[in-house]
This record gives sequence, C-alpha cells and structure tokens, in this order.
Amino acid sequence: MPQSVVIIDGVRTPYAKSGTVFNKVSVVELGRVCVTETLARTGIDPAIIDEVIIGNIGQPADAANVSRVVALRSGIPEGVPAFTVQRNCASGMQSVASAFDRIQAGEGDVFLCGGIESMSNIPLLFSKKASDFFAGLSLARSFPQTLGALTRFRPSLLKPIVAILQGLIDPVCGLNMGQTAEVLARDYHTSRDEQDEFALKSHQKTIVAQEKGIFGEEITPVFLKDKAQSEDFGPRKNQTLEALGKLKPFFDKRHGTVTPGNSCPITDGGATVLVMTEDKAKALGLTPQARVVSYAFAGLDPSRMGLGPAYSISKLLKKTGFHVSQIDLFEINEAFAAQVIANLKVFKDKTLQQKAKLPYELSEVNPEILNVNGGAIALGHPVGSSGTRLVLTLMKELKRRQARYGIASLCIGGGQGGAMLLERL
Amino acid sequence: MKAFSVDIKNNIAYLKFDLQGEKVNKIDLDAGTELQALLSDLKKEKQIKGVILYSGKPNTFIAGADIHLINSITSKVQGEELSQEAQGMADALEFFPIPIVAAIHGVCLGGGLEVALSCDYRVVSDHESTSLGLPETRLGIIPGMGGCVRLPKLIGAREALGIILAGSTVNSKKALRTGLADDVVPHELLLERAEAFLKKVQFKKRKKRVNIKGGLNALLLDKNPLGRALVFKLAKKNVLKETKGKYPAPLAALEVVKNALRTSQAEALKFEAKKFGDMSVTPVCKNLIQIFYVNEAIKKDSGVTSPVKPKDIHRIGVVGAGAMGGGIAQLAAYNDLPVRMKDVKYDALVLGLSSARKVFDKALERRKVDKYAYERKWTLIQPTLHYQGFQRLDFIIEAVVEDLKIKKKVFADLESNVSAETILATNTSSISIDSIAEDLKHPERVVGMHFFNPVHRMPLVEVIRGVKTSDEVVATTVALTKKFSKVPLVVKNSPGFLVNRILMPYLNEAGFLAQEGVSIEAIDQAALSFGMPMGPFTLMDEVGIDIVVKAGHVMKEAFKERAQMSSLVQAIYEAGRYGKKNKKGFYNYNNKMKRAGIAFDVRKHVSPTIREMAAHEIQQRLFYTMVNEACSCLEEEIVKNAQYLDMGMIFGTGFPPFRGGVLKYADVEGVSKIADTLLKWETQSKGRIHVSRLLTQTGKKFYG
Repeated sequence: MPQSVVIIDGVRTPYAKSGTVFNKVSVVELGRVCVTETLARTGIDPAIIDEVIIGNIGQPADAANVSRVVALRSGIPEGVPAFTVQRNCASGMQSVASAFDRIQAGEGDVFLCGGIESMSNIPLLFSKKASDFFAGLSLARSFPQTLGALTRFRPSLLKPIVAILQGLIDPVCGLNMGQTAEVLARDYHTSRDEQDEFALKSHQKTIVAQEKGIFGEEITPVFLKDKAQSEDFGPRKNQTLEALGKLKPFFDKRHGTVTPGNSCPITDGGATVLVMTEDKAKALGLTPQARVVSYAFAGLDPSRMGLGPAYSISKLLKKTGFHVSQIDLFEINEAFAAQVIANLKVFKDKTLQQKAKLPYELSEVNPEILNVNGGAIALGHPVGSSGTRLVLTLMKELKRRQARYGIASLCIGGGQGGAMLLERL
Repeated sequence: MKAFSVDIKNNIAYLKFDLQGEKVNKIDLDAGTELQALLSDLKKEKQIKGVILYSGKPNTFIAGADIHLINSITSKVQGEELSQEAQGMADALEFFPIPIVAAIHGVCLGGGLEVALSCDYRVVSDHESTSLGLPETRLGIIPGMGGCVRLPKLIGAREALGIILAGSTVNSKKALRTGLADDVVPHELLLERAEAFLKKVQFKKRKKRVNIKGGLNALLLDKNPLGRALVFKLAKKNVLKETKGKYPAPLAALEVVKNALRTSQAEALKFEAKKFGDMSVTPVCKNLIQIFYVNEAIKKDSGVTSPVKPKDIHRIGVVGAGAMGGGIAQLAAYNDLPVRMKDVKYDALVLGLSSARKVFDKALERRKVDKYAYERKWTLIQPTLHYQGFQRLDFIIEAVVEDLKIKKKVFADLESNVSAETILATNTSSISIDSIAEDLKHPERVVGMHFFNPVHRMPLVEVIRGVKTSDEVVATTVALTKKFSKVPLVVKNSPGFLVNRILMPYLNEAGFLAQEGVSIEAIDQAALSFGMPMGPFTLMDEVGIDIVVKAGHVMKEAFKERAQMSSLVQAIYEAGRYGKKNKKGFYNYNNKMKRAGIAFDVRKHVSPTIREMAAHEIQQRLFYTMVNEACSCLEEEIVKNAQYLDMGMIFGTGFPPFRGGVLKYADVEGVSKIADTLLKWETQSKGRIHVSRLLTQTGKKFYG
C-alpha cells in the first residue's frame, strides 16, 4: 500500500528578470530565504526533516551540492543530509518526485524540497585552450619555462564562453531552445499572431493576479540593501500586441516567429515546499494543502522538447487512470508560446496524438483552466526553480477555487517532459 | 608543591604550571618563590638539556598577576618592592643556564606574558583562545615584571607600544608576525612541537633577545634613534588624545619603554619598578581595580537569590525594527542566535536590516569576522511582517515606539502567537513593566531588557524586574545578556529605572544652567573636562530631544517638581529641533553630521545676559544633582548596592571610569560637603531640589 504523500505549505521568492534586482543575490541566498520562511510558516522543528532535496541547474562553483549549503545556512541541523537534483528545466519538480519516491521506499517521512536558480550568476568560462595555457604557466618552474609558456599566449584565449548560452543549446541536436520552439511552430503551423496573443494573455493574467494579491500568498520577499523585493519583477502591465509585434524574431531571423516577447525571459528565483507523509502531518497536527497523487517523466525528440507536457501528461494519465476532463486545473510551463500552443493542438487532435505516438489518449484542455494566473512568459523561468513554483502555484490555486485535481507540467531541455498530479486536501 | 610540577623525559624538563584550587593560573608571591626554588633544583640535574614551561589549565597559559596582590599595595615603596620581587622571578627564568621554551596555549596576559618573555623562546598554539597581551594599563598600572623592558627590546618600540599602551591582545598569527612568537604550532601537538623546536635550536640559549620583524618599516622606525623618537612622539600624542590626560599609567609605561631602549637592562628594570610603584597607589588605579572586581562579581551574579537555572535560549524574536530593534537583532545574530524580526512595514524592516548589516560590514572590515562568518551571521536575521514562526521562539524582545497602548497591543498579540514557554521582554526605557504586563495571562514571563543606543557599542543592559516577574525569567534574561557579552544590571521597576533616572536631573540641571545664562558650550566643556564622553547638550542632540522630552514627562509625572524640565529644553522641542536626527538641536549639524555652530534660536531662549561661571562650579551643579539622585535610588533599593549603581553609570552613560563611579566620586568629593551644598540649593530651588535622606542623615562614605 503506497504512502499518501502531502504538501504542507511552501513559498517562493519573487521571480525577477536576470541582471535586475537579484543580480547580486546568490542562489544560496534565494534558497535560504525560501527555506527559512517555509520552516517559519509550517512551524516544524527542522530536526525532524529526513532530507533536503533541492533542484538547481547552474550549480555555483563556490557551493558544491548547493542543497546542503542552503540547508546549513537556513538553520537545518547538521545531522540532516541534503542532495541536489538536476533534471534540467524540471529540477524543481524532480525534488518533489524524489521525495515521493524516497517516502515510498521507506527512506523517510519529511522532506524539504525546492528549486532555485540565479541565472544572473551563471559564470563566463574560459575555453579549454585558455585553461591549458594557464595550467602551463603555473607549471613553469624556471624563468625560461615561464617565458616559453608566455609565448604561447594569444588574445583569442581571453574570449569567454557564455555558459548560460551554452546551456540553452541542445548538445545532441545542436539546436538552441528557441530553435526547438521554431520547429514546433512550423510543425503545427502556429503563426506569429497566435504566439503574441498567447504572450499578451500571459502578461494580462499575471498582472490581474498580482493586483488581486494572489501571488502574495506564495511569495516571501527578498530583502535587498535598500528595499524589500516583494513582487515579481518582469510582468508588464502595459503590454500590447502592437509592442509585441514590433519585436524581431530572435532564433530564426529570416523565417522565424519566436521573439523575446513570446518567450520566457531568463530569470532569478527560488521556491520550496515541505513534503511529508499524511500520517506524519496528522501526528504533528499540521494541515496539508494537497496530496501528490503521482508523477511521470517522459522522453521525446530533443529538437521537439517543447512537446514534453503532452508526452508526460499522457503517461501520467495512463498511470493513474484519469482523463483530461477530470482535471480541474492545469499549470503548463510557458517556455515559449509556440511550445504551449503546440501542446494544446496535440491535446485536442487524435491524429496528431497518434503521429506523436502518445501512450494514452488526451482531449482538449479548456483554456479557462490553463495557467489561470499567467505563466513564465510574464513571470520568467528560473530554470531549476520553475518545477517547484508550478506545484506551489497549482496547490494554492486548487485551494482558492476549492477544485480537486490539478496537473503541473513542463517541457525539459534535452527532450523530456514532466508532469505531476495534485489533489487538494 | 602547589603550583608547579616537573616531569623529565628525553633530557627535557617539562615544567607544568597548574595552580591548585583555581580555574586559571595566576602569578603571586608564592608561585614565584616556588618557581625559583624549582629552577635552582633543576640546575643540579645534569642530564637536562632544555625546559618546556606549559600550563595544566584548559585554554589558559597564565591569566596574569594576582589582582588582590596589586590592590593590597598601600605605598609607592611597597609597590616598587613588589615589582622588584616579581622581576627577580623573571630574571631567574632569563638567566637560567639551560634554554627554556614557553609552550603557550590559551590566555597569556599581563604577568603571564612577562613570564613568557623571560623565557628564551615562545612556541604558541594556533587555537582561537590563544591571546597574548599586557592589559596592565587598563587597570591603571604598568607591566612591572620586566614586560616594559623585554617586550620593546624583543619586537621593537612600535609593536610593543601597540600592545602595552592600548592593553589590547594579539592572536597567534599576529604574535608570529611581530616576532613575539618564535613559532605557531597546532594546539593538539603543542608539547611535541615545543620539543621539536628545542631540537631545532640545538638546545642552545638564545643569544640575542631581539626579533624585530617588519622589513623596511622596522629599519626606519625601530632600528634607529631618530625613527624611535618619532614613534614615541606619535604614541604620546595618541595616548593624550585617548585618555585626555586623565589616566597616568599609559604615559608612565611610555616613559619606561623609552628608557628601556637607551639604558642597560638593570637600570631599565629599576626604573620600571619605580614607575610601577608610583602607579600602583594612584586613585585611578584603585578605581579601575574596583571596577574590575565589580565587573567580575556581576559576571558571576545570576541576578536572583534563588538557585533557579536560566533557560536555554536558541531562537530570538524582535518586534519593532527601528534603531533599537535592528541593533538588538544584530547583537543576537552576531552571537549566532537566529532572530525573527517583525515590523508592520517592509520599509521599517529594510531600515532595521540595513542598520544591522552596517555593523556587520564594519566587523568584516575590521576582520572581526571573515567573509564566511559574515554571510552566516547576518543572514540569521529573518525579517517578517507576520507572527508566523513565533511559536518556536524562546525569547522575544519588543522594541516598538514608547507608547503604552501600542506596547500593550503588541504584548497581547504576542501572547496569542507564542508558546507557553516563551519569555517576553520589553526594551522600554521609560514605561513600567507592570503596566505593560497587567492585562496578560502570564505576567510572570514579562521582563524589561533595556539596551542603550547604539546597541553594539553600549555595554550595559538594565534587566528590569516587574512585581510579578519570575526568578527564572530574570535569571534567563541575565544569562542571555551575558551571552551577548553585555553587562546585566538587575534593577527595580521604577520610573526611569536606574540609569535614565540618574541622568535626567543632570540633563535638567544643564538646561537650568543654560537658562541662567551660562553658555551651552561652557556647560558641555565642563562636563567633558570632568571626564564625561560628551556634554549634556551634545548628548541630548544624540539621543533626540523628542525622546528626552518624552522621558522627561514620565519622570515629571513620577517625581513631580523634583523632575522639572527647563523651559529651554521644552522650547527647543517645540521649535521642532530634535537633535542630530533632523540636523538641528542645541547645535546645528551639516550634512556630514558635523557640528556647525549653535542655533540662533537657542540663544533666544536663554537669559539675555551671558553669565560666566567657573568650570568647577558648573561641575558641582551637574554632578551633585547626579549624586543626589543616585542616593535616592539606593534609598529606594532600585539596585543591589552602590558598587552596582556605579557600574551602571559607567557602562550606561560613560561616567568616567577613572573616577570609579558617581558614588565613588561623592566619597572623594566629600559626602557632607555635597550634602551641605545641596541643602543650600534646596532652599533656593522652590522644590526642584530635594536632598536625599541617605545623603544628609548618614554622612557616611559609600565605599568603606
């Protein structure tokens, strides 16, 4: 008999476009803010945590196993172990999935899970040639050797490799993420206007949610030197189709339709949730907000990675026996408008589903229950964090609507999809 | 044998100092005699090639000379003789025919360092508890066991003066850098490495006791007479600036050091002993030793008479993120306690957090913390707008505005958001603890914890006991204060508590003096030359005149006409001049917060005719009234005793330590003289001055 796994509560930092308000905030600090606040809100003694699991992609050089660093800096006792998970864009969802698995395996009852990313702080790298040059220099033991090493210097050695751009290129198919979105736009004949309209709606829904204070329920502020950042820094209140229309395609300048305006921005942020068994929650007198029913990860063609949600949701529904019609809410990460639209087209078209060889039949998703508070096009997509953020946002919205089932899903660079089914408690 | 034991291994005598019945090693006459006898015995052991002197105490090599011994000195000659006797012990070490290594782990101060300096070599442990220094001048004396002679010869005048004049300590790293230590070794391997060191120097006595480091600077400043002259000139200037000429010991030490570098060692030691004798009987020395004793007593005092144990405190809460709240949060975080800091607005939290961070930034700059400790510590402060997380806090300090209604609301909110075990403290400076606690279900857990501004620099904390406050709560608050490295003073819940109550008549008197036509600069100057860290008007500008007036009203309500405020202070307040906080108070301030003259409208409120008054007369007016109020406090048993009261004024207001405190000052000035003068004023004052009965009736000195 599998254990019932529940989420007690969680928080996230505001999401802020990289290079802006959180430019000087380390990823450890983003994690610490979330973990300390999650502990305060749930009121648990951190010593009862069995393990801390945090997802992160651009793992900082000065904080190996960043999950452990965050745990210690948040006042979690030394005796509580921690590990970091990396499933690219779904790392933040992987942390919850891993906790789910460990609970089922009998490896603990209480897990602090999350996803954190500071894309502002992903470093520039030296090329292999340059590092060989520096190594040679440091190995030189005599003046002639030093001189010899120095003669091998070329100015081109100083040209940095931008790690963040490299990370966004699929190393197998050679396309960058935006180009994979272009592939989907072509495959499913998605026009520039369709994408821009989708992007505009994302901003509009996000702004409404902001104004209603909906995000206030899940955000904990980050205190900077001169202010408290308590709101997402990215959504545009005055976004218009006209403004979106003026932007030039970025990834395919000649035939493309994917622009910075209909893609998610590079972003900094963190999110954490407290996961435990339902029995443990009862014993501690805590009120869980949702149950993690199940999850699924699926693989697909890396050059069409954006279709990951369709694959993973199909797999998840097959596994759980649910139908799309039974799901009350969907949170599908908006990496690119073209990519979400492609998924929606597959959802409602049996032929496309057969062509894609989905394992289980899907049906149309009512747009009224999809990303009801906007999504990553407006909020941004701190890659390792979004998975947790989607689960958190979904859990809070299920409660707000008094709805029962919801699915959070993302496409994953490298050709995967991830989906998690929650039930409100 | 009481203090020393010898163990001979591999031709090396391991000489262990372990003073029986004491927590730390101290040098006294008996220990000296014992050591000398032991050394002369060791001389006969032909197989011994070297000696290692070490301590049997944890984290202490030798804490210093026995202070009781120094305090018992009654004449200069006696002091001089004592110094000579101690020097004899040091000489016995220096001239011992076999090399001696001092293996130093832990505290090595005063006489302890002088012992180490007399050895041939010093091998120092790398432990964080290891610190070396000569703090004698802080007690009004000078190193009198050869320290003023051996140290400058060994490491040069520059570094030696740094250690002797300021009385500050150096760690193992710095000891090695300056040449004071010959080697720094892992503390776990101290004795093994000391033995290896002896082997490395081939069991030879040190030939030249000079180990000046520092390259070019040493060449320019330490190794030639012109450079040294410059060093001494600058040092003297600095000492005078620091002590304002009120403390004779650093100057005496400077003279001894200067002399030591130009005469023979014997002559130099003779002069050191003479100067030690001179210093050992100064009133300043006696007062500083008195303060040391009381401080030690307070450290041991649990604050309650019952044997109740203080609770362990792991997590702190602070409500109110103003200057005080931010300061308290900083203090807790600095001491590695996580703090939840609550306020009602983000802006307030940002201010509180940034003021706390500034203190951490300074600590980082001064290398009191490294970058890892810096990050770890400042992030222990968690700002919040809500009470979530308060359930798990052990101790909460409220620091919101001084308004009873608001404070009561905060305490009511706290009561419903914390666990039954949580202690609730208020940082009020003027509101009754009992009034704050009156409507609560558990008034026994409410206590006053009055910090002074700026929190990270002011050493005193008044722990205010309400009528219902439990012993456990008081004891826990006292223990927490000590954990913060502050001085806790338990006081009764009475208007103004102790420090502000005694300060208030002094500030009032300053106002009345100004009203009578004495210039405010003259009044401030008189207080400064008395030894106060700043004059009363400067102080009011610092504190904030609005706060002074608010506190004044509280005092007025409690003590009626006796606590009358001058109309000058009130007028300044009504004119919207709040002091430094809005750049205009009694003085004007420019954008850099530097003083820019006296405001014109201040003059408007004082008597049109300028009245000249001698400084000592101004001082009488200011400090006799202070003495009078201190007596009232003793009478009402606001504080345990006169010694504690004096500590409160020294640590809470910077009352000059060389005077030993307010009541010690009264003793020196003459209790009956003060009483007579005050009685004369009482008749002229229309009720403003009411002489304390304690002062008139007994006429006895406060210190026996």
